[in-house]
Parts: sequence; structure tokens; C-alpha cells
Amino acid sequence: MVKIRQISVFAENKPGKIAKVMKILADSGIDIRAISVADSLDFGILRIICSDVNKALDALKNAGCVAKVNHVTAVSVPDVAGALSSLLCILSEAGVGLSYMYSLYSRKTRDAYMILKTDNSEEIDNLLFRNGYDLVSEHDLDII
Amino acid sequence: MRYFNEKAETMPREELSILQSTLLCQQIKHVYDNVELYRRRMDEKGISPEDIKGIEDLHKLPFTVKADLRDTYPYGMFAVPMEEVIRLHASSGTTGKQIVVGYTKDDIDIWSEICARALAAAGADKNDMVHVSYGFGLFTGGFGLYNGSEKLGSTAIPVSSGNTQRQVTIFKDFGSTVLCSTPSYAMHLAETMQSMGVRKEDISLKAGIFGAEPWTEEMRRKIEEMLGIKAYDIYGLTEVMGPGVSYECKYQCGMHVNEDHFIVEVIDPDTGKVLPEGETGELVFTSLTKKAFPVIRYRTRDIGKITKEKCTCGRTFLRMTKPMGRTDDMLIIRGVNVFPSQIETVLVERGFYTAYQIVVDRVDNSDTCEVKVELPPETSFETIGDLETISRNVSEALKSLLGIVAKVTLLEPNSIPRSEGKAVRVIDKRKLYS
Repeated sequence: MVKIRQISVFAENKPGKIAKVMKILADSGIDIRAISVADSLDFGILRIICSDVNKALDALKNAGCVAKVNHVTAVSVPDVAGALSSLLCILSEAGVGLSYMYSLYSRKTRDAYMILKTDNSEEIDNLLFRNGYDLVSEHDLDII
Repeated sequence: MRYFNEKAETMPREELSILQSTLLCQQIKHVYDNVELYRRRMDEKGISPEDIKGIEDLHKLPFTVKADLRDTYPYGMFAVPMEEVIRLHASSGTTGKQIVVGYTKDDIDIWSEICARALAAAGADKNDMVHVSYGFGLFTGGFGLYNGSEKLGSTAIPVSSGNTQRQVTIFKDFGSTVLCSTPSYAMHLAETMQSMGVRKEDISLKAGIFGAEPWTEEMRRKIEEMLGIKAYDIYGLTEVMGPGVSYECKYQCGMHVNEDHFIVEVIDPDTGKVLPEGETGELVFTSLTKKAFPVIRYRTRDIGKITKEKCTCGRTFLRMTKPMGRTDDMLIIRGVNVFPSQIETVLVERGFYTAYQIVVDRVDNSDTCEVKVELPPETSFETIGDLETISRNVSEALKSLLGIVAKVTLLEPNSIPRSEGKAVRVIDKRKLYS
């Protein structure tokens, strides 16, 4: 499996909550590579791909945040019209459900990636590989 | 009909005192002979039944508290053999904390009588259709008023609670004239009626008897306006009898305590000293005539005061105020009794060991309860759905174990303010006691 680590942070749906998390990471010198926010009426989840995951996690926990590491798939997607549509058609035809998705740009490879969480995170690698997609590791993205 | 039992309800107070004294002496002998806890408590204080010669000796007797009734669960406080018990009821208490009470045939007759008095005082007679929307079951509300209606000879409609639209149809089609329910359910009925396009002119209700939960004068006026009725208050508790321990007359200046069956005292909750008439303290009841489950100086935890001043209605029974608060932290949410400690237990058992807060409010005359809990730092989650499952599970546990409907809100750790003294666990915004 080729996965990268993502930190999920629980945040109440109130002003200043995301800013607080960003400040904690900033103070620890963490470089954020990608971020997405999922929200519900009362709370949200911040999903973060960043440099030095362990250090970031420690900093968040020490500051009293509820933070978790999850493993997600990062797949290279060409920067052309219809590229994302093609990718999602493959998932759809294979009957794979998507939990969430957001994008990431890598300074190192100068490419765009989609971060995916699917309901069959083990088989997704093969499926994408067979269809000619490149999966990237943390090493490729230089975020270890 | 002004009174159901004119002789009793207007008995001169001197005569009433003599009656109470006679009944008290008999009752003390009865409990001493038949209930181990009462006998032991009296022996410990060196009091024998012969030392109680009348109501002036009542203060010598030990108090009974809710824990005594729980410790002797289920039948330890019963004072007659089970063959004489014809019915059981249980407190609206919850898991592991309920109290079961019993009634002999005579006890049921007495209970029916006092509820009939309450109905008559609200203007009901045998021509009335008494619509009982209290729950029928172990809860005393439904059967209490039903018994009263039967005793009075009015036509009882034992609808029980729930199925609100059907209840409105019954108002219209059956011609209900007197409604018995919790005040919040009466409000709900009134609102449902409006939403169904039924006007108060389309129904025949003229009065309502509402109890089992605290309510304000403002709510009374609103119910009266919306249903086109006069709303009466009633008081009672399962441990003492059920509804009907005291009731309002048309002058609505406090609730008349059925003193031929109960003695009420007001005590200082800290010292246990009996307070003079007119002072505010904890209400304490002694049942004089109930045989299966008699209570002696039972501390209700309800705060109120009494007056013996003669009422314009002619009844000589003293009047108590509606409860002005509680000496403990019990909450009554939509008629369900719940202690914050019970909510805490549900939370702790589900891994929420950190701070929590209970916010109770009344929105559009219906109680709302929000339980705010801090998410434990080690919680495993990835999606919004994971977190929603966590809060829904707690919410379902609160419903099934405690019977309360609560919105569960997850908070970040350390977001509930830690106070230096006593933690503020409950925020009750309802202002029920004024």
C-alpha cells in the first residue's frame, strides 16, 4: 500500500478555532502542504497534510487538541480538463465509494495530486495502478 | 358542585386537629408493628408508639428520606401483607433508582376521593367528560385522575399520553370538558390544535388540571388563553400517594392539602427544625390513612411554604404554595425526573470522563435539554459521520436509560470552564420557580 499520513483535528464550529490550530502548527515550524475543512452544524474536522507529522501531532496533543493520524491515498492527476472526471469514473465503475477528497500541490514534483479516502483503501492502490495512475509516498512529496 | 366532600373539606380546624391526632397515633402503631425500618429508627431514638399522643408529638419522630425507600426496594416499606395490596405503582425514577409503592383497596378509595375533590374544586361534576392525558402505567398520573373521575361520577376518557392529533380529534368528537395532563403537554395539545385548524370555539373544554412538573403563572395564562379554559394546579408525589395530595380551588391562592389524610410540615432543610407558618422551607409529608405504603415525615426536597389563613372558597384545609424550588439538584424535564449524576453515569460509562454541562431551557413552552461533553483526546475518528455516531449513541442511551430527550453536543477538550469551587454542571434557563 502506498499511503500518506494525514492529521485530522476535531474543531468546534466557532470563530477562531481553525486559526488556533494553525497557530499551534506555526509555532512548531510545521509547513502545511494541503488542508481541507469538513463541517457540520456543531463541529468540523480539519484535515491536514504537513511536514513532520510526528512533531505536528505532538504539538497539537500538547495543546489539548483531539488529533488523529489517518492514512490516505495521494494520486497524481494531470492538470488538464476532464482529468478528475476520468479518475472518478474509474472509481465509480469499480463501485468504490468516496469518503472525502481534496487536492495537494507538490513543490518538489511540481505536480497536482488528489488526496482520496475511499471505502476500500486497500484495493484502491491496485485499481489506480492498473489504470495507469501514479501513487505517491510521503518520501516523494518530501513531507516526512 | 362546590365540594366533593363538604364535611371533610370544611371541617373546623380544631376538629381537624383532633382527627389528625387520632389518625397519627394509629398510623405510628401500624408502621411500628409492620415496617422494620420505622421500628428500628424509633427504637434508636428511644421512642415508642405510646410516646406519640397527638400531632404535637410529630416532631419527635425521625424523618424518612428517598434513600430509605430505595434501600428497602422493592417491598421493604410495605406495611401490609401482599394479599391486601391490590395495586403497585412506581416513581418516575429511572434505572436502579425507582421506588415501588403499593395500595390496599382502602388506599385506592382514599386516592380516588382526593382526586375527586381536586376535580370538583375545578368545577367538574358527573356531567363532565374528563380527558386524562397523563400516562397510564406505573406512573401515578393517569390512574390517579382516572380514579378521581370515576369516584366523582363524571365520564372518564383514559386517553393516556401521545398521539396528539388523535387527542385533538377526541376533544372535538367525544366532547372532553376537563383536561388532565402535564402543563407542557397541555401546551403541546394547544399548539397541535392550532396547526390542525381547530379553534377553541370548536371544542368543549372548560377546565384543566395540570401537575407533575413545575410551571409558571405565565404558562398558566397562555394555556388558559389558547384552550379557552381555566387552568388548575395539582400536587402530589408517588411516595406519598400520587396526584391529589393538594389541589387548587377556584380562587387559586395556593393548593389545599388534604389534611384529613396527610400532615404537611415545613422544615429548615439544614437543621431539620420545623418552621413556623409562612416561612419557606422543605415540605415534609406524613400519610395518616394510607396503609400499604405509609410514609412518616417524608422529606420531599420540594421547597414551599404554607398558610392556614381561611380561604374564600370555604375550605379549611391549609394551603401550600406551588413548589418554589428543590433542595437537591433534581431536574424535571418534560415531566421526567432526572439527577445530573445519572446523566454523568451514562457519560462516564461511554468513555466521557472529562467535563460536561447540562443546559435546560424551555422553547415554545416545551423543555429542551442539551448535554455538552468534551471529546476525550484519544477518541478515534476520521469522518463527520464517526463523530455524529458518537453523539447519537450517547443521545440514544440517555433516551433509553433515563427517558430524556437530549441533544448531545461534542466540544473540544478544556472548553467547558473549570470553576475553582463547585463545578457548574447544570444551567437551567427555564426560570420555573418565581
